[in-house]
Amino acid sequence: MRRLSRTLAALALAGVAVPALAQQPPAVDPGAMSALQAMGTYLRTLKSFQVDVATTDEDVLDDGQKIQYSGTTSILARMPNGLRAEVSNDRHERTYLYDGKSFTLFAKRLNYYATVPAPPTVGELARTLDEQYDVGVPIVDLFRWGTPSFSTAAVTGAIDVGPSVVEGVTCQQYAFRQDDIDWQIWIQKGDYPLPRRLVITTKTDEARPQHTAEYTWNLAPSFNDAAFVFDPPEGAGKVVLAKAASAATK
Amino acid sequence: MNKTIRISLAVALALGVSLPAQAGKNVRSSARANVNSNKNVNVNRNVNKNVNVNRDIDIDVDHHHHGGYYGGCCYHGGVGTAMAVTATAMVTAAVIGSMVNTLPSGCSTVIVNGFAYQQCGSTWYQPQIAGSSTTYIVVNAPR
Repeated sequence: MRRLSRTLAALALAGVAVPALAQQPPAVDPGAMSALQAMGTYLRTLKSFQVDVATTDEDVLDDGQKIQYSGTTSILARMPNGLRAEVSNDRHERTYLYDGKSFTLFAKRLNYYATVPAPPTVGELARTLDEQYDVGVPIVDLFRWGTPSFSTAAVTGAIDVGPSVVEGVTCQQYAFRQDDIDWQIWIQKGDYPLPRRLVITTKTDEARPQHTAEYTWNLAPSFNDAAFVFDPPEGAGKVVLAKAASAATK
Repeated sequence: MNKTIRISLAVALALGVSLPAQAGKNVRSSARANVNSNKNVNVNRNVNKNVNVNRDIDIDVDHHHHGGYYGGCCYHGGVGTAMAVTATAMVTAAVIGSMVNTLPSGCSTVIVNGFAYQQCGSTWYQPQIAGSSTTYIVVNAPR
């Protein structure tokens, strides 16, 4: 150790930077965690919002080859009990509608829809759909940050990467690590700490498929309650919502 | 492998129908799309996502790659189910309760008790919307 110290001293005198040994930052930067908390707290203050999300996703084929597909999701939320999400990508063109009483999933390309009774809040809806039907509420993170559903305990690494501009908006970029995913988020600077960009890298497959999302926000959307109620188009067929494999066996 | 699957596969082979595993590539996993999740969404999804070649967008929404790649289908059930699904789809000797991703040709929509069914000859299918795709369950004639 003494020899190392002497070597370091010599290097330092010689003007050589020794960053790795100089100062180890903590694995979980408290500043990054508090920025995340602040974003969540802010999101939960929004009574209604509209957000357009441009997404890319990747599938991994048997041989490790990755296939990317892209899409858009447009969300209108009236907290805590109104949600309209329109998802359009290479696979689906679907509308998710929730009015606080029932939930309808409309598959536009087939002109089929399924309606089920729903719990009283978006948060509970997300859990019910997930557990009973294997249906994910699109961009569900937006409804979970700032709630007990988001557990900071899962985060094993957090870095404040620095300033970054997303679509002309000045943000601060943060990078987080969890057991099964690494993820990065760009949070708008200033009084409106909104997520502007999200990248999730899945680590459970060595090919590491990625999801990316860019958010364009409207915090003063105009809408009426009919926006959350499903009005079947001409010829639309009512069908059933498939039970999740785990729920079906119960 | 249960008897039904074995028979279906045998029929498929006898008819000279190529099995889809040879025709395209399977999706083994997908990117997770949310940081927050109730559960590990990737568990078991890879085993039974089957590639379905030449899927027609008009028949099933959920994909329209006309080549050898198809993702996002059917992660209900296990490997056996997935095999049964494909085998049944190939031959129309449909077993009640089995699931297919695409309908045979010549089906018509029939509304029974407010719900839409597909009648394809003597076989009836109940469409069901699932999280990843829309599938069809073979049912007894609903009326």
